[in-house]
Amino acid sequence: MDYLGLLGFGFASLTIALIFLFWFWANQTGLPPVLRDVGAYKDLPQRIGEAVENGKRIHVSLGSGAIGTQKTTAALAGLTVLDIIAESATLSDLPPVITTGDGSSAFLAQDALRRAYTQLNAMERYDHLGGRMAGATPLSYAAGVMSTFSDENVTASLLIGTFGNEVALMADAGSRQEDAQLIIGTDDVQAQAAAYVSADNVLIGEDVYASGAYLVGGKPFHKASLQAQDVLRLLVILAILGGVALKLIGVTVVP
Amino acid sequence: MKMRLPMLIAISVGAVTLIAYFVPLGPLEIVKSLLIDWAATLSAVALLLGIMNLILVHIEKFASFKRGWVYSIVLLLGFIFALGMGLFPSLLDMTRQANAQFNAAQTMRDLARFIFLYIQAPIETSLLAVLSIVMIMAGARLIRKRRNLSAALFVIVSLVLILGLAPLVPILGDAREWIVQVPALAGARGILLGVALGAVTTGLRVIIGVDRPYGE
Repeated sequence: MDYLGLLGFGFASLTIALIFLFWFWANQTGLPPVLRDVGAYKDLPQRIGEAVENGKRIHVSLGSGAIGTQKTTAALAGLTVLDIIAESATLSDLPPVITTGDGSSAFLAQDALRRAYTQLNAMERYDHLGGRMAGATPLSYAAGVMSTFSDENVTASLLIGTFGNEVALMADAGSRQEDAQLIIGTDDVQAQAAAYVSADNVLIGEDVYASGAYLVGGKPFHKASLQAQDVLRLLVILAILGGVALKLIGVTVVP
Repeated sequence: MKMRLPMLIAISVGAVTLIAYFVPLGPLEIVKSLLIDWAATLSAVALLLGIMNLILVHIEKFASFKRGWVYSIVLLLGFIFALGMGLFPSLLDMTRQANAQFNAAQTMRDLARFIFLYIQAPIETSLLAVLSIVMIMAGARLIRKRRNLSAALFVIVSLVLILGLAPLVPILGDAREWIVQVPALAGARGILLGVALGAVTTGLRVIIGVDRPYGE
Protein backbone atom coordinates (compact mmCIF):
# COMPACT_ATOMS: atom_id res chain seq x y z
CA MET A 1 0.00 0.00 0.00
CA ASP A 2 1.52 3.39 -0.95
CA TYR A 3 1.29 6.37 1.41
CA LEU A 4 -1.61 7.96 -0.55
CA GLY A 5 -3.62 4.73 -0.22
CA LEU A 6 -2.80 4.64 3.48
CA LEU A 7 -3.86 8.28 3.83
CA GLY A 8 -7.16 7.62 2.03
CA PHE A 9 -7.85 4.52 4.10
CA GLY A 10 -7.05 6.44 7.29
CA PHE A 11 -9.31 9.32 6.23
CA ALA A 12 -12.25 7.00 5.46
CA SER A 13 -11.75 5.08 8.72
CA LEU A 14 -11.49 8.30 10.72
CA THR A 15 -14.70 9.60 9.12
CA ILE A 16 -16.62 6.43 10.02
CA ALA A 17 -15.16 6.46 13.54
CA LEU A 18 -16.14 10.11 14.03
CA ILE A 19 -19.70 9.51 12.78
CA PHE A 20 -20.16 6.64 15.26
CA LEU A 21 -18.44 8.61 18.03
CA PHE A 22 -20.73 11.66 17.68
CA TRP A 23 -23.81 9.44 17.31
CA PHE A 24 -22.86 7.55 20.48
CA TRP A 25 -22.11 10.81 22.32
CA ALA A 26 -25.51 12.30 21.39
CA ASN A 27 -27.22 9.06 22.46
CA GLN A 28 -25.45 8.96 25.82
CA THR A 29 -25.79 12.61 26.74
CA GLY A 30 -29.16 13.21 25.06
CA LEU A 31 -27.71 16.43 23.70
CA PRO A 32 -28.03 16.63 19.91
CA PRO A 33 -25.82 19.19 18.16
CA VAL A 34 -27.17 22.69 17.59
CA LEU A 35 -27.39 23.32 13.85
CA ARG A 36 -27.23 26.72 12.20
CA ASP A 37 -30.32 27.85 10.30
CA VAL A 38 -30.54 26.89 6.63
CA GLY A 39 -33.38 28.88 5.07
CA ALA A 40 -34.21 26.27 2.44
CA TYR A 41 -34.68 23.47 4.96
CA LYS A 42 -36.50 25.73 7.41
CA ASP A 43 -39.16 26.63 4.84
CA LEU A 44 -39.43 23.23 3.16
CA PRO A 45 -41.97 21.49 5.45
CA GLN A 46 -44.21 24.58 5.25
CA ARG A 47 -43.99 24.67 1.45
CA ILE A 48 -44.89 21.00 1.20
CA GLY A 49 -47.75 21.49 3.65
CA GLU A 50 -49.11 24.38 1.59
CA ALA A 51 -48.87 22.37 -1.63
CA VAL A 52 -50.68 19.42 -0.04
CA GLU A 53 -53.42 21.67 1.39
CA ASN A 54 -53.97 23.33 -1.98
CA GLY A 55 -54.06 19.98 -3.76
CA LYS A 56 -51.06 20.93 -5.90
CA ARG A 57 -48.22 18.77 -7.09
CA ILE A 58 -44.70 18.64 -5.64
CA HIS A 59 -41.83 18.14 -8.02
CA VAL A 60 -38.47 16.72 -7.02
CA SER A 61 -35.63 16.73 -9.51
CA LEU A 62 -32.58 14.57 -8.81
CA GLY A 63 -30.27 16.08 -11.43
CA SER A 64 -28.36 14.53 -14.28
CA GLY A 65 -25.78 12.76 -12.10
CA ALA A 66 -25.79 9.04 -12.71
CA ILE A 67 -25.59 6.42 -9.97
CA GLY A 68 -22.28 4.62 -10.32
CA THR A 69 -20.33 7.68 -11.44
CA GLN A 70 -18.48 10.32 -9.41
CA LYS A 71 -21.76 12.24 -9.19
CA THR A 72 -23.46 9.40 -7.30
CA THR A 73 -23.44 11.16 -3.93
CA ALA A 74 -25.26 14.23 -5.28
CA ALA A 75 -28.01 11.96 -6.62
CA LEU A 76 -28.09 10.21 -3.23
CA ALA A 77 -28.49 13.61 -1.52
CA GLY A 78 -31.58 14.23 -3.67
CA LEU A 79 -32.87 10.74 -2.88
CA THR A 80 -32.46 11.42 0.87
CA VAL A 81 -34.69 14.50 0.55
CA LEU A 82 -37.17 12.49 -1.50
CA ASP A 83 -37.23 9.71 1.11
CA ILE A 84 -37.96 12.24 3.84
CA ILE A 85 -40.67 14.22 2.06
CA ALA A 86 -42.26 11.41 0.02
CA GLU A 87 -44.79 10.45 2.66
CA SER A 88 -46.17 13.97 3.14
CA ALA A 89 -45.93 14.75 -0.62
CA THR A 90 -48.01 11.70 -1.52
CA LEU A 91 -50.86 12.98 0.70
CA SER A 92 -51.70 15.63 -1.91
CA ASP A 93 -54.55 15.08 -4.39
CA LEU A 94 -52.00 15.19 -7.18
CA PRO A 95 -49.17 12.67 -6.69
CA PRO A 96 -45.59 14.03 -6.68
CA VAL A 97 -43.53 13.88 -9.83
CA ILE A 98 -39.84 12.99 -9.72
CA THR A 99 -37.57 13.75 -12.67
CA THR A 100 -34.04 12.48 -13.16
CA GLY A 101 -31.42 12.48 -15.89
CA ASP A 102 -30.36 8.92 -15.23
CA GLY A 103 -32.09 5.55 -15.48
CA SER A 104 -30.93 4.06 -12.19
CA SER A 105 -31.92 7.09 -10.09
CA ALA A 106 -35.33 7.06 -11.82
CA PHE A 107 -35.87 3.53 -10.48
CA LEU A 108 -34.65 4.49 -7.01
CA ALA A 109 -37.11 7.41 -7.10
CA GLN A 110 -39.95 5.05 -8.09
CA ASP A 111 -38.95 2.80 -5.21
CA ALA A 112 -39.05 5.72 -2.74
CA LEU A 113 -42.56 6.61 -3.96
CA ARG A 114 -43.68 2.99 -3.75
CA ARG A 115 -42.44 2.78 -0.15
CA ALA A 116 -44.28 5.99 0.75
CA TYR A 117 -47.56 4.68 -0.72
CA THR A 118 -47.06 1.32 0.98
CA GLN A 119 -46.63 3.06 4.34
CA LEU A 120 -49.78 5.07 3.67
CA ASN A 121 -51.56 1.85 2.74
CA ALA A 122 -52.56 3.47 -0.57
CA MET A 123 -50.75 1.40 -3.17
CA GLU A 124 -53.68 1.79 -5.56
CA ARG A 125 -52.64 5.46 -5.96
CA TYR A 126 -49.05 4.59 -6.85
CA ASP A 127 -48.11 5.44 -10.43
CA HIS A 128 -44.75 4.10 -11.58
CA LEU A 129 -44.54 6.93 -14.12
CA GLY A 130 -44.37 9.39 -11.21
CA GLY A 131 -40.62 8.71 -11.13
CA ARG A 132 -39.33 9.35 -14.61
CA MET A 133 -36.27 10.07 -16.66
CA ALA A 134 -36.64 13.51 -18.25
CA GLY A 135 -33.69 13.40 -20.65
CA ALA A 136 -30.44 11.59 -21.23
CA THR A 137 -28.10 14.59 -21.65
CA PRO A 138 -27.92 17.60 -19.26
CA LEU A 139 -29.63 19.97 -21.73
CA SER A 140 -32.32 17.53 -22.86
CA TYR A 141 -32.92 16.81 -19.19
CA ALA A 142 -33.27 20.56 -18.54
CA ALA A 143 -35.78 20.79 -21.40
CA GLY A 144 -37.73 17.85 -19.94
CA VAL A 145 -37.82 19.44 -16.49
CA MET A 146 -38.89 22.81 -17.95
CA SER A 147 -41.91 21.21 -19.61
CA THR A 148 -42.75 19.36 -16.38
CA PHE A 149 -43.21 22.71 -14.59
CA SER A 150 -45.82 23.91 -17.04
CA ASP A 151 -47.55 20.62 -17.90
CA GLU A 152 -47.89 19.00 -14.47
CA ASN A 153 -49.41 21.81 -12.36
CA VAL A 154 -46.36 21.94 -10.10
CA THR A 155 -46.26 24.39 -7.22
CA ALA A 156 -43.19 23.47 -5.13
CA SER A 157 -40.04 22.24 -6.80
CA LEU A 158 -36.94 20.82 -5.19
CA LEU A 159 -33.97 20.52 -7.51
CA ILE A 160 -31.33 18.66 -5.52
CA GLY A 161 -28.53 16.74 -7.21
CA THR A 162 -26.08 17.40 -10.03
CA PHE A 163 -27.00 20.42 -12.13
CA GLY A 164 -24.82 22.55 -14.37
CA ASN A 165 -25.47 26.14 -15.45
CA GLU A 166 -28.59 24.92 -17.27
CA VAL A 167 -30.24 25.01 -13.84
CA ALA A 168 -30.92 28.71 -14.55
CA LEU A 169 -33.15 27.69 -17.48
CA MET A 170 -35.08 25.30 -15.24
CA ALA A 171 -35.37 27.92 -12.50
CA ASP A 172 -36.65 30.48 -15.00
CA ALA A 173 -39.33 28.06 -16.21
CA GLY A 174 -40.22 27.17 -12.62
CA SER A 175 -40.53 30.77 -11.49
CA ARG A 176 -43.09 31.46 -14.25
CA GLN A 177 -45.61 29.20 -12.49
CA GLU A 178 -48.19 30.81 -10.25
CA ASP A 179 -47.20 30.73 -6.53
CA ALA A 180 -44.21 28.61 -7.46
CA GLN A 181 -41.55 27.90 -4.86
CA LEU A 182 -38.17 26.75 -5.99
CA ILE A 183 -35.39 25.26 -3.88
CA ILE A 184 -32.12 24.37 -5.60
CA GLY A 185 -29.13 22.48 -4.29
CA THR A 186 -26.28 21.41 -6.55
CA ASP A 187 -22.73 20.16 -6.11
CA ASP A 188 -21.46 22.37 -8.97
CA VAL A 189 -19.95 25.68 -7.80
CA GLN A 190 -20.80 27.65 -10.96
CA ALA A 191 -24.34 26.30 -10.98
CA GLN A 192 -24.71 27.39 -7.35
CA ALA A 193 -24.11 30.97 -8.49
CA ALA A 194 -26.69 30.53 -11.26
CA ALA A 195 -29.13 29.07 -8.73
CA TYR A 196 -28.52 31.93 -6.30
CA VAL A 197 -29.93 34.47 -8.75
CA SER A 198 -32.79 32.29 -9.95
CA ALA A 199 -34.25 30.34 -7.02
CA ASP A 200 -36.18 31.30 -3.89
CA ASN A 201 -33.84 29.27 -1.72
CA VAL A 202 -30.43 27.85 -2.49
CA LEU A 203 -28.37 25.20 -0.76
CA ILE A 204 -24.71 26.19 -0.83
CA GLY A 205 -21.77 23.80 -0.49
CA GLU A 206 -22.24 20.92 1.94
CA ASP A 207 -25.81 22.06 2.76
CA VAL A 208 -26.86 19.94 -0.23
CA TYR A 209 -25.88 16.83 1.72
CA ALA A 210 -27.33 17.95 5.05
CA SER A 211 -31.06 17.39 4.45
CA GLY A 212 -31.19 14.32 6.69
CA ALA A 213 -29.91 16.33 9.64
CA TYR A 214 -32.34 19.20 9.18
CA LEU A 215 -35.66 17.76 8.02
CA VAL A 216 -38.31 16.13 10.22
CA GLY A 217 -36.36 16.62 13.43
CA GLY A 218 -33.14 15.32 11.91
CA LYS A 219 -31.79 11.78 11.75
CA PRO A 220 -29.19 11.14 14.52
CA PHE A 221 -26.60 9.63 12.16
CA HIS A 222 -26.94 12.55 9.75
CA LYS A 223 -26.41 15.04 12.57
CA ALA A 224 -23.39 13.05 13.70
CA SER A 225 -21.96 13.11 10.19
CA LEU A 226 -22.30 16.91 10.11
CA GLN A 227 -20.22 17.07 13.28
CA ALA A 228 -17.72 14.65 11.75
CA GLN A 229 -17.49 16.94 8.71
CA ASP A 230 -16.66 19.88 10.97
CA VAL A 231 -13.79 17.97 12.57
CA LEU A 232 -12.53 16.82 9.17
CA ARG A 233 -12.73 20.36 7.82
CA LEU A 234 -10.62 21.55 10.72
CA LEU A 235 -8.06 18.85 9.98
CA VAL A 236 -7.95 19.78 6.29
CA ILE A 237 -7.50 23.46 7.17
CA LEU A 238 -4.67 22.56 9.56
CA ALA A 239 -3.10 20.41 6.83
CA ILE A 240 -3.29 23.31 4.35
CA LEU A 241 -1.79 25.76 6.85
CA GLY A 242 0.88 23.21 7.77
CA GLY A 243 1.70 22.75 4.09
CA VAL A 244 2.01 26.51 3.62
CA ALA A 245 4.29 26.80 6.67
CA LEU A 246 6.50 23.92 5.46
CA LYS A 247 6.69 25.43 1.98
CA LEU A 248 7.74 28.77 3.48
CA ILE A 249 10.63 27.17 5.34
CA GLY A 250 11.60 25.23 2.21
CA VAL A 251 10.50 21.71 3.17
CA THR A 252 8.82 19.63 0.43
CA VAL A 253 6.60 16.83 1.78
CA VAL A 254 5.11 15.57 -1.51
CA PRO A 255 7.72 15.33 -4.29
CA MET B 1 -34.04 -11.62 6.88
CA LYS B 2 -35.69 -10.68 3.57
CA MET B 3 -35.26 -6.99 4.40
CA ARG B 4 -31.70 -7.36 5.68
CA LEU B 5 -30.34 -9.24 2.69
CA PRO B 6 -30.14 -6.20 0.33
CA MET B 7 -28.48 -4.24 3.13
CA LEU B 8 -25.90 -6.97 3.74
CA ILE B 9 -25.14 -7.24 0.03
CA ALA B 10 -24.84 -3.45 -0.32
CA ILE B 11 -22.56 -3.09 2.72
CA SER B 12 -20.29 -5.98 1.65
CA VAL B 13 -20.01 -4.79 -1.94
CA GLY B 14 -19.36 -1.18 -0.86
CA ALA B 15 -16.80 -2.19 1.76
CA VAL B 16 -14.90 -4.56 -0.57
CA THR B 17 -14.75 -1.95 -3.35
CA LEU B 18 -13.63 0.80 -0.96
CA ILE B 19 -10.93 -1.33 0.68
CA ALA B 20 -9.69 -2.55 -2.71
CA TYR B 21 -9.09 1.07 -3.75
CA PHE B 22 -6.76 1.59 -0.81
CA VAL B 23 -5.27 -1.91 -0.52
CA PRO B 24 -4.63 -3.03 -4.11
CA LEU B 25 -4.05 -6.73 -3.34
CA GLY B 26 -4.51 -9.29 -6.14
CA PRO B 27 -7.78 -11.04 -5.12
CA LEU B 28 -9.38 -7.80 -3.90
CA GLU B 29 -8.47 -6.07 -7.15
CA ILE B 30 -10.10 -8.86 -9.15
CA VAL B 31 -13.30 -8.69 -7.07
CA LYS B 32 -13.33 -4.87 -7.33
CA SER B 33 -12.97 -4.96 -11.13
CA LEU B 34 -15.71 -7.57 -11.38
CA LEU B 35 -18.08 -5.53 -9.21
CA ILE B 36 -17.36 -2.34 -11.17
CA ASP B 37 -18.02 -4.20 -14.43
CA TRP B 38 -21.35 -5.40 -13.06
CA ALA B 39 -22.22 -1.88 -11.97
CA ALA B 40 -21.39 -0.52 -15.44
CA THR B 41 -23.55 -3.19 -17.09
CA LEU B 42 -26.43 -2.50 -14.70
CA SER B 43 -26.13 1.25 -15.34
CA ALA B 44 -26.34 0.66 -19.10
CA VAL B 45 -29.44 -1.52 -18.68
CA ALA B 46 -30.93 1.10 -16.31
CA LEU B 47 -30.33 3.78 -18.95
CA LEU B 48 -32.18 1.67 -21.51
CA LEU B 49 -35.07 1.13 -19.11
CA GLY B 50 -34.99 4.84 -18.24
CA ILE B 51 -35.41 5.72 -21.92
CA MET B 52 -38.29 3.26 -22.16
CA ASN B 53 -39.80 4.95 -19.09
CA LEU B 54 -39.42 8.35 -20.81
CA ILE B 55 -41.16 6.99 -23.91
CA LEU B 56 -43.98 5.51 -21.81
CA VAL B 57 -44.50 8.87 -20.07
CA HIS B 58 -44.90 10.58 -23.44
CA ILE B 59 -47.11 7.84 -24.90
CA GLU B 60 -49.39 8.22 -21.87
CA LYS B 61 -49.34 12.01 -22.23
CA PHE B 62 -50.24 11.76 -25.91
CA ALA B 63 -52.89 9.06 -25.39
CA SER B 64 -54.71 11.08 -22.73
CA PHE B 65 -54.21 14.43 -24.53
CA LYS B 66 -52.57 15.95 -21.47
CA ARG B 67 -51.20 19.47 -21.64
CA GLY B 68 -48.24 19.61 -24.02
CA TRP B 69 -49.19 16.39 -25.85
CA VAL B 70 -48.16 17.88 -29.20
CA TYR B 71 -44.55 18.02 -28.01
CA SER B 72 -44.87 14.40 -26.96
CA ILE B 73 -45.65 13.49 -30.59
CA VAL B 74 -42.53 15.34 -31.72
CA LEU B 75 -40.48 13.48 -29.13
CA LEU B 76 -41.93 10.10 -30.06
CA LEU B 77 -41.43 10.64 -33.81
CA GLY B 78 -37.90 11.92 -33.19
CA PHE B 79 -37.15 8.90 -31.03
CA ILE B 80 -38.45 6.40 -33.60
CA PHE B 81 -36.55 8.14 -36.42
CA ALA B 82 -33.26 8.38 -34.50
CA LEU B 83 -33.58 4.81 -33.22
CA GLY B 84 -34.25 3.55 -36.75
CA MET B 85 -31.25 5.40 -38.13
CA GLY B 86 -29.10 3.85 -35.44
CA LEU B 87 -30.46 0.30 -35.58
CA PHE B 88 -31.11 -0.45 -39.23
CA PRO B 89 -27.56 0.00 -40.51
CA SER B 90 -26.39 -2.62 -38.02
CA LEU B 91 -29.17 -4.98 -39.09
CA LEU B 92 -28.27 -4.46 -42.75
CA ASP B 93 -24.61 -5.08 -41.95
CA MET B 94 -25.54 -8.35 -40.31
CA THR B 95 -27.30 -9.59 -43.44
CA ARG B 96 -24.17 -8.76 -45.55
CA GLN B 97 -25.98 -9.15 -48.80
CA ALA B 98 -26.15 -6.88 -51.81
CA ASN B 99 -23.92 -3.88 -52.26
CA ALA B 100 -27.03 -1.72 -52.56
CA GLN B 101 -27.96 -2.64 -48.99
CA PHE B 102 -24.49 -1.65 -47.80
CA ASN B 103 -24.98 1.79 -49.39
CA ALA B 104 -28.35 2.09 -47.64
CA ALA B 105 -26.65 1.30 -44.33
CA GLN B 106 -24.02 3.99 -44.97
CA THR B 107 -26.71 6.52 -45.90
CA MET B 108 -28.55 5.83 -42.66
CA ARG B 109 -25.34 6.21 -40.67
CA ASP B 110 -24.75 9.55 -42.38
CA LEU B 111 -28.30 10.55 -41.55
CA ALA B 112 -27.81 9.61 -37.88
CA ARG B 113 -24.65 11.75 -37.84
CA PHE B 114 -26.58 14.53 -39.55
CA ILE B 115 -29.28 14.39 -36.82
CA PHE B 116 -26.64 14.76 -34.13
CA LEU B 117 -24.49 17.42 -35.83
CA TYR B 118 -27.18 19.58 -37.42
CA ILE B 119 -30.24 19.11 -35.20
CA GLN B 120 -29.32 18.10 -31.65
CA ALA B 121 -26.03 20.02 -31.29
CA PRO B 122 -27.40 23.36 -32.66
CA ILE B 123 -30.55 23.10 -30.51
CA GLU B 124 -28.48 22.47 -27.37
CA THR B 125 -26.11 25.32 -28.32
CA SER B 126 -29.12 27.62 -28.80
CA LEU B 127 -30.35 26.68 -25.34
CA LEU B 128 -26.95 27.68 -23.95
CA ALA B 129 -27.21 31.00 -25.79
CA VAL B 130 -30.63 31.59 -24.24
CA LEU B 131 -29.03 30.81 -20.88
CA SER B 132 -26.98 34.03 -20.92
CA ILE B 133 -30.13 36.13 -21.46
CA VAL B 134 -31.95 34.18 -18.74
CA MET B 135 -29.08 34.83 -16.33
CA ILE B 136 -29.15 38.58 -17.00
CA MET B 137 -32.91 38.67 -16.44
CA ALA B 138 -32.56 36.61 -13.26
CA GLY B 139 -29.88 39.05 -12.04
CA ALA B 140 -32.28 41.94 -12.61
CA ARG B 141 -35.05 40.08 -10.76
CA LEU B 142 -32.66 39.41 -7.89
CA ILE B 143 -32.44 43.16 -7.17
CA ARG B 144 -36.23 43.28 -6.79
CA LYS B 145 -36.58 39.98 -4.95
CA ARG B 146 -33.82 40.18 -2.36
CA ARG B 147 -32.92 43.58 -1.03
CA ASN B 148 -30.03 42.57 1.21
CA LEU B 149 -26.28 43.01 1.40
CA SER B 150 -25.36 39.71 -0.24
CA ALA B 151 -27.64 40.40 -3.24
CA ALA B 152 -26.18 43.92 -3.60
CA LEU B 153 -22.65 42.52 -3.41
CA PHE B 154 -23.51 39.84 -5.97
CA VAL B 155 -24.83 42.42 -8.46
CA ILE B 156 -21.89 44.82 -7.97
CA VAL B 157 -19.31 42.05 -8.39
CA SER B 158 -21.14 40.72 -11.47
CA LEU B 159 -21.09 44.19 -13.04
CA VAL B 160 -17.37 44.61 -12.31
CA LEU B 161 -16.65 41.19 -13.84
CA ILE B 162 -18.66 41.96 -16.98
CA LEU B 163 -17.37 45.50 -17.45
CA GLY B 164 -13.84 44.37 -16.61
CA LEU B 165 -13.83 42.36 -19.83
CA ALA B 166 -14.25 45.52 -21.92
CA PRO B 167 -11.14 47.72 -22.32
CA LEU B 168 -13.02 50.86 -21.20
CA VAL B 169 -11.66 51.47 -17.74
CA PRO B 170 -8.32 49.71 -17.11
CA ILE B 171 -8.83 49.68 -13.33
CA LEU B 172 -11.94 47.54 -13.77
CA GLY B 173 -9.85 45.00 -15.67
CA ASP B 174 -7.38 44.86 -12.77
CA ALA B 175 -10.24 44.63 -10.25
CA ARG B 176 -11.74 41.79 -12.29
CA GLU B 177 -8.44 39.93 -12.31
CA TRP B 178 -8.05 40.33 -8.54
CA ILE B 179 -11.64 39.22 -7.81
CA VAL B 180 -11.30 36.13 -10.01
CA GLN B 181 -7.86 35.14 -8.69
CA VAL B 182 -8.28 35.89 -4.97
CA PRO B 183 -11.74 36.04 -3.31
CA ALA B 184 -13.65 34.06 -5.97
CA LEU B 185 -11.03 31.32 -6.14
CA ALA B 186 -10.75 31.13 -2.34
CA GLY B 187 -14.53 31.01 -1.98
CA ALA B 188 -14.91 28.36 -4.67
CA ARG B 189 -12.22 26.22 -3.02
CA GLY B 190 -13.96 26.58 0.34
CA ILE B 191 -17.28 25.50 -1.17
CA LEU B 192 -15.61 22.61 -3.00
CA LEU B 193 -14.01 21.48 0.25
CA GLY B 194 -17.44 21.45 1.91
CA VAL B 195 -18.99 19.62 -1.05
CA ALA B 196 -16.18 17.03 -1.02
CA LEU B 197 -16.56 16.38 2.72
CA GLY B 198 -20.35 16.17 2.32
CA ALA B 199 -19.94 13.71 -0.55
CA VAL B 200 -17.48 11.57 1.46
CA THR B 201 -19.77 11.32 4.50
CA THR B 202 -22.84 10.66 2.31
CA GLY B 203 -21.02 7.85 0.48
CA LEU B 204 -19.68 6.35 3.71
CA ARG B 205 -23.14 6.46 5.32
CA VAL B 206 -24.41 4.31 2.44
CA ILE B 207 -21.45 1.93 2.73
CA ILE B 208 -21.96 1.40 6.49
CA GLY B 209 -25.69 0.89 5.90
CA VAL B 210 -27.01 3.97 7.71
CA ASP B 211 -28.57 5.34 4.51
CA ARG B 212 -30.37 2.82 2.32
CA PRO B 213 -31.42 4.34 -1.00
CA TYR B 214 -32.10 0.78 -2.21
CA GLY B 215 -35.06 0.44 0.19
CA GLU B 216 -35.76 -0.74 3.70
